[in-house]
Amino acid sequence: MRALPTLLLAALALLGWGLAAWWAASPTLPGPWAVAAAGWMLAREGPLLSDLAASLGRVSVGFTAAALAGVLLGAASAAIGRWGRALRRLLELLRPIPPIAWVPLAILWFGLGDPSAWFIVFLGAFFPIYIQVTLALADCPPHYLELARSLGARPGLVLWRVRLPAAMPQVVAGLRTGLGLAWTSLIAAELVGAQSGLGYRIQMHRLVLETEGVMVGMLCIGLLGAAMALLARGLERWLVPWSAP
Amino acid sequence: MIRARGLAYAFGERPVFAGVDLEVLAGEVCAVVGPSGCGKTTLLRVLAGLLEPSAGSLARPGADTAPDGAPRPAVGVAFQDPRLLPWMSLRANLDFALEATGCPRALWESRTAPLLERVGLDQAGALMPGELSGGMAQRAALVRALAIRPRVLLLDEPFSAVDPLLREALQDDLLQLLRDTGTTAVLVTHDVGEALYLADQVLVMARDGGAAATIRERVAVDLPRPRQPELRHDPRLLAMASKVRGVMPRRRSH
Repeated sequence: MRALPTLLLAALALLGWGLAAWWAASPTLPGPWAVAAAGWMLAREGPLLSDLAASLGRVSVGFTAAALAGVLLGAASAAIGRWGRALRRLLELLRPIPPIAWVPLAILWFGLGDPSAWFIVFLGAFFPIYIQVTLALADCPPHYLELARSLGARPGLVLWRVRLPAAMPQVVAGLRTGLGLAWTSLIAAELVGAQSGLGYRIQMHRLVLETEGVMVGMLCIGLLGAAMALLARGLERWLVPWSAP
Repeated sequence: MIRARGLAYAFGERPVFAGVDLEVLAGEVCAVVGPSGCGKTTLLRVLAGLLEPSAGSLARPGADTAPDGAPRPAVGVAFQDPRLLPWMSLRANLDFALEATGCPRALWESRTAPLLERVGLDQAGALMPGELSGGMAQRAALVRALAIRPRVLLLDEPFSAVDPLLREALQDDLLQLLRDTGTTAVLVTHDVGEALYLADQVLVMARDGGAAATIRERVAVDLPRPRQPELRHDPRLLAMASKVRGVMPRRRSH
């Protein structure tokens, strides 16, 4: 019965939406039924599923690349001392630039297609992962290190059995944040610089004033984002059970 | 077995303790008592080799070989907090300690199983540290420190986090384990009764004003061994306890 309040609230929201649409009686605010019907149509006969697949594929490629680069570069930065800190400072200069601001350059460099979307997703996900990995490896709890030292553990054993597992919760948290940002960056990139995908489809529906299609796209983005967050939390519980709530 | 002469330690300019002389013979138990903040834990860290003394000499036994052929480390430490690594099961935590000290894998089971059984944790090996109660975690940490069979065991308030009943049971466990393994031990505690019950000699550590702490009193505990639980209420122990409390400052002096 834990789901009851959620379901009740969702029903209320739908009711409110329906009433607002009925009262407005405007093509710019279709009601839930119209949007559901449009969604069914688009899924059966339209490009909805191929757009979903295109967006998910781009997130997978960009996020995987960002995760690999973030973990490897983050570990390297933590391991090589002064040069690592210099690299981190340099990357800190690039971090405040929102991924969407890279879109014009991405289009110039990679054209309107998958590679430029991969690039934007990569930028969105890379920074939180990289920063969390460097921080996590730098702040191993000193009392665990002291324990290892009191046992005379070799540096290799300390790295594998103490430093890396101690860093894992923060690394996984960085991956989770990175996944969320990858998804939002992708949609932003598709709105202006793609020819398929959910973001692109929303833009197309807007141009021909099919508000139902715009809303179908938005709801899909929300649902997929929530599903990914759920997946990430499950993965966290599996990977770092000692820190997950 | 372990001998310190004029041992001192300072955090930068601030002296923690100075002029500490200490001699513990093989198989003996030495307890260091004193009020909180008098530098007992720092002394133990210096004895463990985790901190470098700022003055004085410290002679500790070197590592050698245990009767079962595994390397025997010079010292083992049971910290005040259990410090079980939360990402490993209880058994994996013990195995990690044995691996770190170079004990061959084939001996791990024989090193840990009897100890776990003695402290009632033989069914708990698969549990994660987060699933253990405070008392279980402290017993596990004690088993870890004993399983590596150090020549000198250093214990920092090993029973501070457990309730009084369990505390007495654990003290008896510790005495029996030390006797069985012939281990030399230095124990830091603020509990005078515990110190006298467990130790052959008790050192009272205290400081005057802002000066470095030092050993203010030494008490040889000439009570029979093995110690029996009734001894806790023995008039001789109680007399020694009031003598020790007499030299311990009531409050931490500033």
